[in-house]
Amino acid sequence: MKEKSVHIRFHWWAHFREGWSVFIENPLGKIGVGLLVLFGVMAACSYIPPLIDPMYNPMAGVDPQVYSSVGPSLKHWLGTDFMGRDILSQLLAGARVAFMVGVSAAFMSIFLGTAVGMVAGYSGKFVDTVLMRLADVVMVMPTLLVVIILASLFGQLSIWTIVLIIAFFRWPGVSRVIRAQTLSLKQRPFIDAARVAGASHLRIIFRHIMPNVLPLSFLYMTFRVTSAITIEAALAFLGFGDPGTVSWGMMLQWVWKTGHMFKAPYWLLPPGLCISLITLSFYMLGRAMEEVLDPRLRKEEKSI
Amino acid sequence: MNQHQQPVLRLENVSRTYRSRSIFKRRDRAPVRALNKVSLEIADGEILGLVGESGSGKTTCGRLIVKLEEPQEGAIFLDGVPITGLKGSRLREYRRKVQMIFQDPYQSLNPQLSILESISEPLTIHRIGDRKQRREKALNALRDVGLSPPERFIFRYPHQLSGGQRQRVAIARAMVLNPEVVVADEPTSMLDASYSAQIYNILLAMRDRFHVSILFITHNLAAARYLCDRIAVIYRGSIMEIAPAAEVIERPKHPYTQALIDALPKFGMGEERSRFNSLMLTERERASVSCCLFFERCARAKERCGREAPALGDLGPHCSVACFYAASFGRGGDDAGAKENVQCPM
Amino acid sequence: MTLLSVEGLSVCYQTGRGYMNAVEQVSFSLDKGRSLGFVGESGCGKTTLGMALMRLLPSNGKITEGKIWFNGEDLLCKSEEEMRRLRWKEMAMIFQAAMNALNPVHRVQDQIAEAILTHYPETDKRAALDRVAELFRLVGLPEDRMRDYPHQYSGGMKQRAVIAMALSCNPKLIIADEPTTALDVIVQHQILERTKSIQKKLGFGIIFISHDISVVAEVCDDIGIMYAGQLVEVGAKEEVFKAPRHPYTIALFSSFPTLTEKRSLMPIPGETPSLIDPPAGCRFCDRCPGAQSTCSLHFPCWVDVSENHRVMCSCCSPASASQGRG
Repeated sequence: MKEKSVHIRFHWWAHFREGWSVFIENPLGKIGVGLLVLFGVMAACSYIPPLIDPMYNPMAGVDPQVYSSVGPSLKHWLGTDFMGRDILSQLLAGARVAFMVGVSAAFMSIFLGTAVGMVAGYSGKFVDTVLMRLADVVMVMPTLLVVIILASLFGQLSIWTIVLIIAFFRWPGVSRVIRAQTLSLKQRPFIDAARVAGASHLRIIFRHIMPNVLPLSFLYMTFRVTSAITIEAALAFLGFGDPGTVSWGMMLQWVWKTGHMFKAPYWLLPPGLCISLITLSFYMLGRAMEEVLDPRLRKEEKSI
Repeated sequence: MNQHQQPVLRLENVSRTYRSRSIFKRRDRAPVRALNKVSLEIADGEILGLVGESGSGKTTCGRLIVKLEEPQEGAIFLDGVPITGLKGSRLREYRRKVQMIFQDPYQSLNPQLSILESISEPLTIHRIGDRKQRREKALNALRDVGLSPPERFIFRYPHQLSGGQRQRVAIARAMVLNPEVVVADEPTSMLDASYSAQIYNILLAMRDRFHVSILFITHNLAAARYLCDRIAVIYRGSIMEIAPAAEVIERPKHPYTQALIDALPKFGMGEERSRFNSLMLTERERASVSCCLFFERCARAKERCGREAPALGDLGPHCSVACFYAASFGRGGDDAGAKENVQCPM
Repeated sequence: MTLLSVEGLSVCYQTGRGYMNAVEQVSFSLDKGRSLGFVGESGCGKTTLGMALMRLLPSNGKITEGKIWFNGEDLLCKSEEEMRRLRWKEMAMIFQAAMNALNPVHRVQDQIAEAILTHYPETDKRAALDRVAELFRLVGLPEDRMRDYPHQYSGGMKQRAVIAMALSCNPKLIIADEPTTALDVIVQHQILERTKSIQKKLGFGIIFISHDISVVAEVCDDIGIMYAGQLVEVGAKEEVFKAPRHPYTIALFSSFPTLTEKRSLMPIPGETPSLIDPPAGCRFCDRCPGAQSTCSLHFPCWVDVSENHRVMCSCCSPASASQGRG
């Protein structure tokens, strides 16, 4: 019914507006959103430099007049790397990769983690035990080490393989939280009411539990993004990244490999700073959202 | 009340035990008998009150009837048909006929669903009507519970309504399927007095209009008196007394019922209140494993009460009491020995 | 002798949605050894009133006007340090769901003794424990349970322990906020009876706050009805019960089911007004069956029905006192 969907949309919008006002009051929220907008702009602008001049292509664009790493100049705002490629365009491309890797890996692990957590929490007993033991096994495995082993076995991994692997190793953390939330929701009378009305288990999970659990999933996604970006950076730095993609970790690897660590601060500092700042901003975003979204932290109105 | 008509809902010797497990298997804590061989009947169109304090098993009884839990012993019959082991479409049919109103109006509605979605969900589950018809039924249900005009409420969310309004939505949701039996589990214990009064009147109106049978679970004897045709008093998992409401209030037979009546605050509820004094000031030791459940607190307990537990015995066509010496208690009378057959007025 | 006298007390809360007038212009007095009960539904401000008297409002609450005279002193002029010394020694409070106020990791006797030792530091432990034993006898708890932990007590016993704690420093006034709400009927009755007898024995004043009229009627000498932050009727229990004047009081009484006859319950139509934007005149007028056009325009005035019974309603003139209403 048209009216109904309009009202429902209004409901989400009203909820969002309410949450937004609380969120933006928090200084963490303000800084986090500010920084993310900055990085977002950077990622969007990453397409511009190669269009201006193919010399600015982060991977392949080489300045014919430059033979080694030089410092910032008017032509290259942040200088060039050892091959003569522009550092700024690499930085912008890195922002794009960071968002891509971070968000998609986080999204996939949240998807898997939420599904597993809901099923485990709702089913209980045997299914719960099996799923949680599986989660324990996966959680305990050192992600980085396993990826390195896999890379050394299978050679260089593409960026999407890396994303999948990160997602695969990071879902257990989310599933534990979602499972706890599902367990507490299961006790709430409205679940009993749905059961008395005749709802099937599937209906209860998707119609009653999932909408109440999604805000928490969304919250944890922001934390997952930080770990995804960090892992990708670490992998790239250690030389296991995708050689065809420019990421901040890859830039750091080049700095190190070519011995420019202490010689070219204009090359070393920008990617390092960016990695730290983007993870910090996502983290701050998550902490500010916690106050809005986490039902446990929400205070009930006391009786007067 | 036509006595020969089959009761719409019947519980026969129903028991439910909870066992709390401990990590060290040997130290399993003793199982808790929430319900101990409880037998009840609700006639068609009757409101039966189940009155008890916390821990008496009244909520468990309600949950067994709506099949949120299963009894370990005994059987429950709806229209003469046993309900244990129902599966699939037969279970769904049962769910259409038996509904529940929960105690906490702040938790019994899904906060993410609008009022329209909450009320029409049972219709969607049972595939009754199309979208338009479901909406129409939902609007009618809201009108029936006094939330008029219903269009003002259907797109709102639970947190936008007061406790009393939410409980009325819960009643609308329970009634939208036109059930035969509704279990109302302490529907007003979290509401203020004026909103409680609305709920009682709505329940009465529902019974009068739709001929639905209601099991009204409460700890408030006065509310049970107002609402119910008959009252069953439950204590520690067993029924102590069942009789027509006026009879239970004016001439309680079981010492526990008498203690409940004594404990009700008097002022504003009538000055004339005889005191039964059936409660001991300090509890005595439990005599044996199988003694009467009220033995520790009963001021009139005799030797026999310490040896065996009385079964629910008839004291008249509609009165049953679980006490060996019930017949001799009226207005704080003295014991007269063995049980006599005293006629219970209709 | 007047123990407590409150004049024109108003309390506001600063909430996310606006400025909430929780209590507005409440005036009453309590004599030594008497008990006053405040009855009202949720949101009427009775708990706020109790907290304001002890000056224990949360950080977003403020007493905006009025005076609180306790034992001849104005409590609002005292500093926080002075209030701290006053609390528990002169005024004690039993909070809602007080049984949760007992610390689960300490023995009950230690918690009560701590209250005594905090306010009378010169007492020694032995004397404090003797006092605890005396308190246990007073509230009806067995002395051999003194060394138990709170989780070993039943709900009723915990409540009695909390009452013992409130009495520990011999206060002159006790404010009890819904002390028996979470308890079963029989236990509640026993505790109320016990409280009455202790009060007669020790002679302190009690302010009893509850949503249940019948409970307040059992313990209190005087009764005050609150609605939407205002005190609408106050007086001696017998008078208010026999002849309630305010339409809300009448409606409230008739919405309680009684044991005696099966009369129909009259629910009160409508909802309580929002306290953030309260109506200009009488706050009950849009639910009042006898409302007149002037009721929504002017603030209602106090009308003395008798010497110890007054009502805040413009439509209740003293002349109608003889006719009675309801």
